[in-house]
Amino acid sequence: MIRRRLTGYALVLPGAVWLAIFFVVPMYLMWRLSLNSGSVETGFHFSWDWANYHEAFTLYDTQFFRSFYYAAIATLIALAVAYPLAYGIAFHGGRFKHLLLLLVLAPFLTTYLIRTLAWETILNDQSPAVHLLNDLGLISGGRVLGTTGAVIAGITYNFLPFMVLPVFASLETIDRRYVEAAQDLYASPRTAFWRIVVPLSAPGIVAGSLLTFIPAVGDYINANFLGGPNNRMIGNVVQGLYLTERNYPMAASLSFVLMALITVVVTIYLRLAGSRALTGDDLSELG
Amino acid sequence: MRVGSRKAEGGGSRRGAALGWISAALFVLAISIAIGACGGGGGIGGGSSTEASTAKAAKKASGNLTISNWPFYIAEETVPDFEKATGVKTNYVEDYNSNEEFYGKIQPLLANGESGGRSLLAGPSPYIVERMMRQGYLQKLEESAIPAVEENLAPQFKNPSYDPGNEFSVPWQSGMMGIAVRKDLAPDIKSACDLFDPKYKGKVELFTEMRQTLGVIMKCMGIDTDKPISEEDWMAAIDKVKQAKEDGQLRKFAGNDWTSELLRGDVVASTGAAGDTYQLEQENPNVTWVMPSDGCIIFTNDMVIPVGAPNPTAAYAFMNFVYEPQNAAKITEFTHYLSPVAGVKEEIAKNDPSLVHNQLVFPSEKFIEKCSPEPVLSGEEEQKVTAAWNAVING
Amino acid sequence: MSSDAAIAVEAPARPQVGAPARALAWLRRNGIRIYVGCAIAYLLLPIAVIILFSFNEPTGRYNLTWGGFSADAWLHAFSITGLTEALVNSLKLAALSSIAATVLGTGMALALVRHRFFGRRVANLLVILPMTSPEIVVGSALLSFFLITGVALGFQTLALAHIMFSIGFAAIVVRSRLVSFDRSLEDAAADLGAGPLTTFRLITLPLIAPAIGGAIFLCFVISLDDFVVSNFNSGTTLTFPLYVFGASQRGIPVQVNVIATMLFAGTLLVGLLAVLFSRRRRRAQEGAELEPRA
Repeated sequence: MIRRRLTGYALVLPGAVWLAIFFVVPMYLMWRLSLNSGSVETGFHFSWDWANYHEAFTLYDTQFFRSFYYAAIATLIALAVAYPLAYGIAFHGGRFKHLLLLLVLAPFLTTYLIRTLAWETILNDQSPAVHLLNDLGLISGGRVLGTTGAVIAGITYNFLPFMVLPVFASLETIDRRYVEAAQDLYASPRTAFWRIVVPLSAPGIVAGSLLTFIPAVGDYINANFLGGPNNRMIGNVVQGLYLTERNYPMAASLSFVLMALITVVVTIYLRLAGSRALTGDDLSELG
Repeated sequence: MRVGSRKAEGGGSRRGAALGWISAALFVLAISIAIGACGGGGGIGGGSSTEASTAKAAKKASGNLTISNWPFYIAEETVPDFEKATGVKTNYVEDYNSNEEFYGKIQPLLANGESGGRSLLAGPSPYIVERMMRQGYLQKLEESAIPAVEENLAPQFKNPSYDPGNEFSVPWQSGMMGIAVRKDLAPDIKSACDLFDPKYKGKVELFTEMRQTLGVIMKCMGIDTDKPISEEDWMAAIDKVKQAKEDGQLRKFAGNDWTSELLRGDVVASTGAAGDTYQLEQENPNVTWVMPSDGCIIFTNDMVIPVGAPNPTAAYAFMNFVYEPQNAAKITEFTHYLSPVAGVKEEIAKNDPSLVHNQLVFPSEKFIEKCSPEPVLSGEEEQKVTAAWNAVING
Repeated sequence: MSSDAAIAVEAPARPQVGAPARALAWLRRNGIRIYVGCAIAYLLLPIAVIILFSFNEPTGRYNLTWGGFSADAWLHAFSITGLTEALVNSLKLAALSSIAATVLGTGMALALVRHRFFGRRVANLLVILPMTSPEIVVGSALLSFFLITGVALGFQTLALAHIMFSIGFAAIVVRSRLVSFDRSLEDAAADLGAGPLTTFRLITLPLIAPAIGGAIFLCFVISLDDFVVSNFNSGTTLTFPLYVFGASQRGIPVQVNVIATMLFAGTLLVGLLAVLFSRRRRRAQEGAELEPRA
């Protein structure tokens, strides 16, 4: 038994140490950095400078709020688009199921940036698609690029497969006999769907919305390429502060608060959803 | 046994978890402290104030040379010609998108005494050159290694205030910041203030270089940019831009990417440099540069050798090469920027006499009488104004 | 197994009258299939644009508007030195990090499924945290770390970072395979006197081999695609996505689309082969219950 335990440590430690050094320690150091003061020229030193948080928030609260707002809307749209898609594949995919899944995943096989740039090409002001939308009165001002809608649409597109996969996985595990039983008991198809299928796929919905929401909050590629100056998200700010302005303390405090806020939102969400799909031992449900 | 172990795990999980948490926390704490100790308590060093060294030149240039510069800033044949003449294999990287962005990218490397493989930077504006000098990120130039520069540097470019005697920097090219417009879509834009006309709502861009963009805007606001500019005036211009952003007047704050949207017509006007605009005009004749009615901002970018440059000898060879009038003339013909090399005009007169009379390439005194050099900021004022500008373009 | 029998939203058959009603019924029956088709078309639309524009003949610097058909960029796919270098960097990085992360992740998965030890839950959390943190936080934290410790940014920091964020994905893929297969084979091998290493080599490894392959593939694709973490920690080293980002500001050469298409086709092919392989395997398993190989 001792030996078994030692083997366990031997197996887990290399990976765990790697993750500790390159994830946990960096988080700790970023927190320390957020309390530094100084500038690139004079150097930065640790000084419990909480003012960075105050300053960061007064300057960039809009972008924080915007990021959560965009991410929430994009997650809802992604769910609305992904659910019927996952349902169709799971229940009607037949022998093409795996092929269809692969096609859903196909966007991940092209570079994220290039996919987003392709949308920029598709949606530029001169494109026929945009003219059509304009003639139909679906957009105002004759353009899609540089608007809130474009950013949310971009986020939705880019993270859609993250929603489809978990929902599909949970639909797959539903025992079809429940649905048949419901119909045998004269439930209408609609009732059977809402009372049986949807509740049983809830873990997938929870996992999918988290897998979409979390990266969406921190995203800045879509805002960068598809948005305008009034659509910039917290990710744009953090990257600008870190990489261009080299204002590390303020950047670190924003990044740290982003992480903290996401943890809070996710915890509340998981409480409300009553699922442990993403934590602890039920990890395997994700795979 | 499996069932048993599962159960045991369930029963002991609370205590096991607590112990696990504690051990993990201790483990992480130990590593953090160890690393914190190495890293000087979680701080990051600044620039060094030690005496700058001189970039030593060997007899003959060879090997590889990596140069960073802005796009649209060199003739197609310059690098191949240089390679042929010297045998130096040259990697000319157009990775300047803004002064601040490039500085931000390379600063952590320079702080470690490395230059990311670059031996020559040709893109920095004077204020960045000054900043890099202050931080000890530049090497002094060896006068004897650049005879062509000594010979052909035009007098008005010599001895800039930030680098007396051109100890660290040699001008690359100079240009006029004004307005690039689509003359078919926005024929009536005459000054930078016309960019704020509600008629062009959502169809206007501003270049992210603060000193140049705010410079032309301050000019149209009636602020004298030839005298030292007060903080209030800077802030007034920033507020104007901020207001325009919030009103949806601006499509984007753009680095080099302002060009593509102007070509496509998604944007009808932007602050832009005359040389860039000339090159865009070759792609779309509707794009044209407008000298603002209240004058332009004249900017310069310098060649410098950063610390850690792997091949300064080749960098010197490149400087000499582009300071030969016939090579410099080719660059001017291609880019239509202002050349700091004396003798270029005569050289061009041989091939293309009409270009000599082009005001955008060889402006007369009268043409640029209202123009000013890139405005200067320093000290605390610089920090405040820069922070305010960044909050507008980055937020 | 006919899943079509259990369609929840399908209308029960009703006596039909007239063509419009029949069309409506048809639509009702096939609506979901049409939807799946449209949704997948939507997902693939940008890819089609990318491929199409790899055959473009742009009028200037910018590959943004259609200028006519040309296979020129395909014939000179690797003619842009900087781009080719970035691609090579990306491929090296993806190969290195996917293999290293899969080794580390497989170890963690084995330990988490097969062994009990203090700190198990912490290890679980360590696996899941980097995956569920926004990339910008991971990237900026790592940059803080490298800046404070004074590690020079470049290929080496990219490798450290990519391995870190890939471990979790590898661990989860291998783990899901480990929990799903019958352990009696391993017990039997142990009963027959095989040592733990022999058991691992002869029984466990062949059984989880597909998952290990899958993990390497997944980590490879994730590394190849990563922009945010790389952008923070690359110094002046360029990977393919970083090259594209830089080029997007000054005009993207058509070759970028060509290489994106190649990468897409290559990884898609591997994916397709995996689907075929797993289908054949499943069929084989349905026929005969797993036979251990010696």
